[in-house]
Amino acid sequence: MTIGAVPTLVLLPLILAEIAAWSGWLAKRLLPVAAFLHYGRTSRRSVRAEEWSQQLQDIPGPLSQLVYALGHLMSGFASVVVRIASRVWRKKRLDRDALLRALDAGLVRDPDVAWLDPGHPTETPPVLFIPAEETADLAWQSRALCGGTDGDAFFPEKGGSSHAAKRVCARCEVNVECLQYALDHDERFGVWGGLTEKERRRLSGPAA
Amino acid sequence: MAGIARVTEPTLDVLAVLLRAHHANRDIYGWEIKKQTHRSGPTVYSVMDRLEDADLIQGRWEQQTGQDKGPRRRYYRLTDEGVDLARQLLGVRRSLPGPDSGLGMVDADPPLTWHPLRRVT
Repeated sequence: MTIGAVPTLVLLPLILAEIAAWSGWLAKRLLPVAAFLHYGRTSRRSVRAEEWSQQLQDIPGPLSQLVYALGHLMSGFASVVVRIASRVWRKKRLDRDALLRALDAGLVRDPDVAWLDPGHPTETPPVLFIPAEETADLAWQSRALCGGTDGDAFFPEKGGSSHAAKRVCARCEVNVECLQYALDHDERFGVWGGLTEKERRRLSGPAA
Repeated sequence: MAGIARVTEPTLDVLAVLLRAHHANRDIYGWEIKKQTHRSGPTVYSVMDRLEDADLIQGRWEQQTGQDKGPRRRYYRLTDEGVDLARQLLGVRRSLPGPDSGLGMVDADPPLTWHPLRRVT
């Protein structure tokens, strides 16, 4: 045995004890993080965080406590991934559904061209078909794309271009709901669901 | 009746433990459920989340006496709806004896971590 081994022999147990002690501390701090990953900003987050922290008292060793906390943490990460994936999938599906409905309704003839060409007259007056329960629900407003843009573009000056606004509407997943809302509430100003005041008047003209 | 979308094996395990506690007329806390089901914490709690969302179980905090300052234990019990569903599901999927024939007491092992002194009434 060399002289150098002596400090190692003395220090090693100390280091191991240190690691073990820190493990318990770490476990206590990881559990609230895990709860946040699982539940986000819900009331269940704080319930589970406290519940899980209490459970550490049922686990004898600090290392086992850490393993337990890491288990919750890993599954928390997994649930975040699942949540993001399902949100992306849902958005894709909504985009597609909105486009299909718009096509059905005759609001869009060619998904790429019709919305971006305000001057182009529609040949047949489009017929809107939107289930009543959807129009009653105003939740669509929170998904509207225009919420994050320059509001002025949606209220162009007389003779100004509504092109920019229409471009946004074309990509918006709730443009059909938006247009229906504007027609129902007789909105007089601004671009709604990709149509200007004038275009909307033409739509609702026969009925009025 | 509110339901749960999927009835998985862990769900049945958790329901079995909860039903046993129900028959023993006591509430049971998360760690006991984890121990008795031999499932991991995250598995048990993903089941509990769904059961809670469907109002099949109800949780309450343990009442702390003056000195205790730490995190509280949380106890769970089946709601009436939960008892019905647990009996039904376990009867179908685990072919336990029905509620009329001696109840789900067949495998009434004493709970591993339960101790009378810990019992909260």
